[in-house]
Amino acid sequence: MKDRVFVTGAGIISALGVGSEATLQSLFKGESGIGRVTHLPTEHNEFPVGEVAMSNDEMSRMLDVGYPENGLRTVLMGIIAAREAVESARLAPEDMKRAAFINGTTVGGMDKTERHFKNVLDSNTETEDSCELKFNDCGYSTELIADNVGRFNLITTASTACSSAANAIITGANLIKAGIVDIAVVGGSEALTRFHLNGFNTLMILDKDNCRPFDRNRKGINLGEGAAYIVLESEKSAKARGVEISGVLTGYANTCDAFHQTASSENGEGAYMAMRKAMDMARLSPRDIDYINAHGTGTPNNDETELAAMERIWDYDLPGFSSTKAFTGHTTSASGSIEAVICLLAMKYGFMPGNPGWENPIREGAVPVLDMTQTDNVENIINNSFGFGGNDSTLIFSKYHEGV
Amino acid sequence: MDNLILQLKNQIIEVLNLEDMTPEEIDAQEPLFGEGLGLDSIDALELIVLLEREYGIRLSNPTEGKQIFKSVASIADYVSKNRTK
Amino acid sequence: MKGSNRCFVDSMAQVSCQKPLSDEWFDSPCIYEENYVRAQEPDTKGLIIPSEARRMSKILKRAVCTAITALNNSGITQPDAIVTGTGMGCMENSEKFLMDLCRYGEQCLKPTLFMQSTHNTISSLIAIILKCHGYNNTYSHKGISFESSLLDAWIQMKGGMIRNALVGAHDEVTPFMDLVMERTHPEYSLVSEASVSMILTNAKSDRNICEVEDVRLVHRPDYSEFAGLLDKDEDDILMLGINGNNLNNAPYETLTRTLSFNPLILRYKNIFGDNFSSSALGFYAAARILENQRIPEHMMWSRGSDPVNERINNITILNQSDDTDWSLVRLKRI
Repeated sequence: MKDRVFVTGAGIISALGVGSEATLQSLFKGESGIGRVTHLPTEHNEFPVGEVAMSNDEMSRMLDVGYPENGLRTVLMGIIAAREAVESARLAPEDMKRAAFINGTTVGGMDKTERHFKNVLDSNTETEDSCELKFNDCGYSTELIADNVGRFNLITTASTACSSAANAIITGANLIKAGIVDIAVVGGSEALTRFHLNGFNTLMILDKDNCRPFDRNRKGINLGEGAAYIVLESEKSAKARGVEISGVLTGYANTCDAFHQTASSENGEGAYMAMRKAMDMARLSPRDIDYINAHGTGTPNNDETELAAMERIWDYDLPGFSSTKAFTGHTTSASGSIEAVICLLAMKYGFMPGNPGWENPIREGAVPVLDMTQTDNVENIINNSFGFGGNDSTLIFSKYHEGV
Repeated sequence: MDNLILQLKNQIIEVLNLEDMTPEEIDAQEPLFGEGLGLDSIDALELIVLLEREYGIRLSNPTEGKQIFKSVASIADYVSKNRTK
Repeated sequence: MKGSNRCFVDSMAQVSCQKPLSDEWFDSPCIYEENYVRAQEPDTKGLIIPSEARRMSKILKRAVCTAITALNNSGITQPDAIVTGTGMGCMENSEKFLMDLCRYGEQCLKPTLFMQSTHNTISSLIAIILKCHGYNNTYSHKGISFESSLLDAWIQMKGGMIRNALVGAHDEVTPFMDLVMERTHPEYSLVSEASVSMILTNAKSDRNICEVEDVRLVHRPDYSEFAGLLDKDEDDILMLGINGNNLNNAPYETLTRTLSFNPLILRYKNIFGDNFSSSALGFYAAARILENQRIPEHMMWSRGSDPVNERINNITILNQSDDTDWSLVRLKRI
C-alpha cells in the first residue's frame, strides 16, 4: 500500500457560500458566515449558527430535483457539493464505474423526521407522515446524493459524529490503495436539525455569542451546516486522465481517545496519536508541518485538550494554526471535508486562514493565525477532526510537485 | 423537608438509572460526585434537567450546579428556597 | 485486491431472537409465529460492570456483551481496530429524545439520550471500556452496514495496516419502528434485532473458524456482471437473505436465475428475522456451518442440482438492500 493518493477535485457549500470560489472570496474578505437562524424552525434563536443561505426550495430549483430530495437538506447540500467536486475533477460517466462514493453523515434525514414525528406519534392509523418517516437514515441520504451525481460502483456511509467526513476520506484512500477502486468521491454532508441543536444545548456547550476558538474565555460552539467532497484518485488514474492535481493526501490516521463519550482526555491522547500517526504515514516530521487546521470547536474542553496535544508534539513552537469554525460554524459530520477543501484552497492560493473572534491566549504563546495570512510556504497541512466518543482523525495534505 | 428529600432521592434514582439502589441506601449528607455515589459531569447535566422539569428552577451555567449538587440535602435546601412549582 | 495477508475469523458471538451468546439455534432454533420479535437479552453478569451499565440502552448492552464474549474467546485483549456497522444506530435513545422534543418542546431535554444517540456510540463505548486507542470507525449504510465494516477491516488486514480487528453489526428495532413499518409495509415477515461481534485476525492458528476470502460491495450492479462473480466450482453454496416478503426476495430470485448453474441455497432470516444488521447473522451462520461441516435442515432453501459434497468448502453470502446496494462475502473452510 505504498501508492500515492492524489486530490483531483473539490466541491463545497457552507455558510461561506456556494462553491470553492465563493468560499475563497469569503475567507479573503474575512467574512464569517455565522449569524441568526433563518431556515431552521427552532425557538433557540439565541444561538448564532452558520446556516447555508439557500432554502430547500432554492437548492431544489438550482439542482432541478423533486421528491424526495427536495425535503432532505443534507441531500440537497450534498448533491451541490458532490457535483462541483465531480465536475472540477472532470470525471466522465465512464470514470464513475471505477469510482466509490463515501459519504459522512450522522443526522441524515433527521430534519424530515422532525417534521413528521409528532403526527405519527399522535395518530392511530396509517398516514402519509408514517411514510415520510422511512428512508431518513444515513445510508438513504448517501444513496440519493450518489445517484444524483453519477453511477458509482460502490457507495457507503461513515458515521462517526463530527469526524464522519474525515473518516470517509480515510476509507476512500484505503479503497484506492487496496486497488478496489481508482477514484473515490469522499466527504460529508450535514444539515442543521432541531435534534442536534437541542442535543448540543443539553450538554451546555453552545455559545450565545459568536464562537471564539482557542480564546481563553471561549464558551462553546456555534453549530453550522454544509457539505463538501474531494475527489481522491490513484496516481496512475490521475496521470492517465491528465487531470490537474491539487494536492496529495500524504498521511492520515484514525485513533480513539477511549476516554469519555463527550469529553476529551486531559492530555489529548487521541488527538496526539492521530497527528503523530498521520505524520508517520506521510514520513513528515513535526517541523515539516506549515499549518494546522484545528478541530477547534470553541468548547472549553476541546480547545484545551487539542492545544495540549499540539504542545506535546511541537512543544511551544507551534506551527501556524487556526479554527475555521469561526467562519463556518461547527458543521459536525461535514466539518472534516469542509475544512479539507479550505486546506486545499490554502495550499493552492498560498495562505493561512484566520481565526476571527480570538482575543486572549489560553496559555502564553498559544496564539492562532488571527487574520488571513498570505504565504508561499504552505507545503504540508494538518487537518484535525474529532468526534464524540473520542473518534479522532487527522488528515495531511501536501503540495504536489510535478515530476516528483 | 424529609418528604422533599425522599422525593428527590426517588427522582435521582430514576433519572440517573441507579436501578439497583433504594432511597434508603442514599445518605442525604453523602457527597454525590467523586466519592460517594460517584456521579460525573453528565449526571450533573441530568440533575439540571431534573430541577427544571420538576421544580421550575433554571440553571444556565453548569458551574452553578457544583455547590447545589453536593448532596441530596443541599439540593433539597436549594429547591425549597427556589422552586417555582 | 492488493495485499497478500490472509483474514481469518477467530471467534464470534451473537444476540438475536435466538438464545443469546449461544449456538442452540443450530440444532434447535426458536420458531416464532409473530412478525415482530425483539432480541432475547443476554445475561450481562461478568461482561458489563453494573456501574457502567446504568447508562447503557439495550443496543449498547447487547453490543458490549457480544464484543466482550468474542474477545474473551479469541485471546485478544486490545484489537488493532474496532469497526462497527449499524443501519439505524442507537434508535431507542434517538426516539426517546424525539418524543421528549414533541412532549416538552425545546427545553428540559436529557443529555444522556443525545450523547448516546449517535451511531458511533457503540464503537466508541467498546473502545472506552477496553481503553483501546486503535482505529475506530462506524458505517451506517442500510442493509450493507455490516459488510461496509467488514470490507474496511478486511482491506486493512490484507494490506498489513492491522493484524486483527473487532468487527460488529448491531441494530435494534423498537416497537415504534415496527408500528411505522406495519403501517407502511403491509407485507412483511419476521422482523427482529441483531447484535453480532467477531474477531478477525491475519494469524493462522487452530482457533480459526473459517477464512474471509472475498468481500465486495456493489452499487446498482448489472445482474449478469454480478452473477459472473459467482463461479460454479468455487461457490457450491449460496447464503441468501430470503424471507417471506416478495419485495425482498425478488432481486435474489432474479440473480439466481441469471446464474449458469443451479446452486445449493441457504437462508437465515427465517430464524433470525430481518433488520439492517441481519446479514451479519447470515455471516455468523455460514461460518458455523463451515466450522461444523454440516447444514441445519431449517436453513435449507433450495437443494440445487448437484449432489451435496461431502465437504463444505465455501459459502458465499449475498445480501442486498432495496436492490440498490449488494454485497458478496465469500467464506472458506479451514
